[in-house]
Amino acid sequence: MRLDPSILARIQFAFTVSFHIIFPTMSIGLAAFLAVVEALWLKTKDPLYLQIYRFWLSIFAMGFGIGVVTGIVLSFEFGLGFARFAEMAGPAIGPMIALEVLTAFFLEAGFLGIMLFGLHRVGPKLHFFASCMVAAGTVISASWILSANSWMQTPAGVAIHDGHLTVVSWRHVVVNPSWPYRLPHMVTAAYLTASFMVAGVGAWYLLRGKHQHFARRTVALGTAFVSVLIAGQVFIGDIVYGTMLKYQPSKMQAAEGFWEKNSQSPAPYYWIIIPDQNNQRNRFALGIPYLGSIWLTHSLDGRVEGLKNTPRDSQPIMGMVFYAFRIMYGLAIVMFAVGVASLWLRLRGRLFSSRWFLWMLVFMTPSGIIATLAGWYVAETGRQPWVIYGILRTVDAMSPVPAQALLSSLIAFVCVYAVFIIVFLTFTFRIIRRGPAEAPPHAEASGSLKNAFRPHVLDSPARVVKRG
Amino acid sequence: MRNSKDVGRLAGLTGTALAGVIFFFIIMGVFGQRFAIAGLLVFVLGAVVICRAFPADGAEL
Repeated sequence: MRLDPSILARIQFAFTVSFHIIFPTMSIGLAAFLAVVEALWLKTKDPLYLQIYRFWLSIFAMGFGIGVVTGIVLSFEFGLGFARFAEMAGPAIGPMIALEVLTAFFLEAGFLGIMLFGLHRVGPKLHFFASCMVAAGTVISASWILSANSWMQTPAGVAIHDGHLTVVSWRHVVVNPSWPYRLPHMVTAAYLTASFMVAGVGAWYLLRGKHQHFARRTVALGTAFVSVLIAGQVFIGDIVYGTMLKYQPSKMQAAEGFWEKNSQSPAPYYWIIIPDQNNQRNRFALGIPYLGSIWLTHSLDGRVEGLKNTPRDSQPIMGMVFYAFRIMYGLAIVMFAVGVASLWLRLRGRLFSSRWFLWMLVFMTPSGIIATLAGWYVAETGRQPWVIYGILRTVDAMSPVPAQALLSSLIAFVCVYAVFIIVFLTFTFRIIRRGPAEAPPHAEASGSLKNAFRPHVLDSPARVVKRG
Repeated sequence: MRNSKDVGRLAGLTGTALAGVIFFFIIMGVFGQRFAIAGLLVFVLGAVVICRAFPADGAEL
């Protein structure tokens, strides 16, 4: 069997970036959650907030570490599998990645040490400042990466002469047309991810009858964040949709599952299709009548553009974009329903006693991660066959590397990443099984390296440093 | 007695579900951008008010 290097390079990048994005998503969300919880602790002096902080700090630290390691790999992969892309896009993308390291990575790295090990080595306000700086660093980091990726989706501010790309306006490169909307979409997705994780773990404790105070507070916090954030996410998502429809119509045409230049009127909203890309038609389609017109054109009889509006050699693969979009959007609808249900149950005083709702929260624990991954699949597969939309095709972006080299490095990545995920899940489940440590009434932690990752280790009175 | 309680609960659930669907459509921009912004503000402020007025974890265990 002959292996195609371009397919292998794409599989390798898809695998490594899919694995990577899970961890920054958690880190961005959990860093903000930890900063909010610490602020509540400082404001109320309630040790329960410190207990929550210490519990989630351990999981955040592991996710942060894996996110950093797997992120560094991606930069090298530009050279390994996509050298022509790196050569052409380097003048625009390179400085943005360097700026991410200088402005965000150093900020996070500097304050992360204080956040993890400094609970009683520095004053509480300085520690809170460190938590805020880490949370801000994760958003700044996301901002640069989203700017680079959005430039690949909606390139601007560059000129091309003889195949060489020159930046003519940095402002337009950084603030390209899709970045102002995709950044809040991604950051809100990360916050929702953390909110569902927190609420899900709390719900699991409630169902098991364990750690009741901790569980109630985390479910209350998680569901409150969900109900506020999901409304914002639906609003931003609609704006992102409109932006991509304007700048990258082929992606949204593929996402809606219509082939003809104009759909029937009124248009249904398809949930299941079996697309036949070769014959440019659906073999099977199941949808809800009228809903396509209402949701996509905001009218009762509007028509939706189909993929035949895009030349065949510039079409993405409909099936991948369509189902990734349906997973993301379907989960957003369920998240919205969870947010509304939580408000209703809160009003009735049944937030912690409705077992169906608690089970729903448990099942929704990974929903943010799945929705974020699906969203990135929409963004990346929908941009195909371009790597820089309208400028450089993916097949022209490859490195002249033999298939065997790509295959061996792909196998190595799969093996190493399997170890990462096993270690992460093992320790995370162990932390969750053990539950939170009792919060010391003096609200100080030992600060030792060992104890920072052991939520069950309580501070021995001898180690507590008395202030004043 | 039990039946009337069940009917009341069903009515509450249906009303909440309906309100959720309407808010979802409004925030998605089905009725235009202005309604979307207004719907978003009402929903977010409503959620904040409910969460602050009913902290939910204060009840005795």
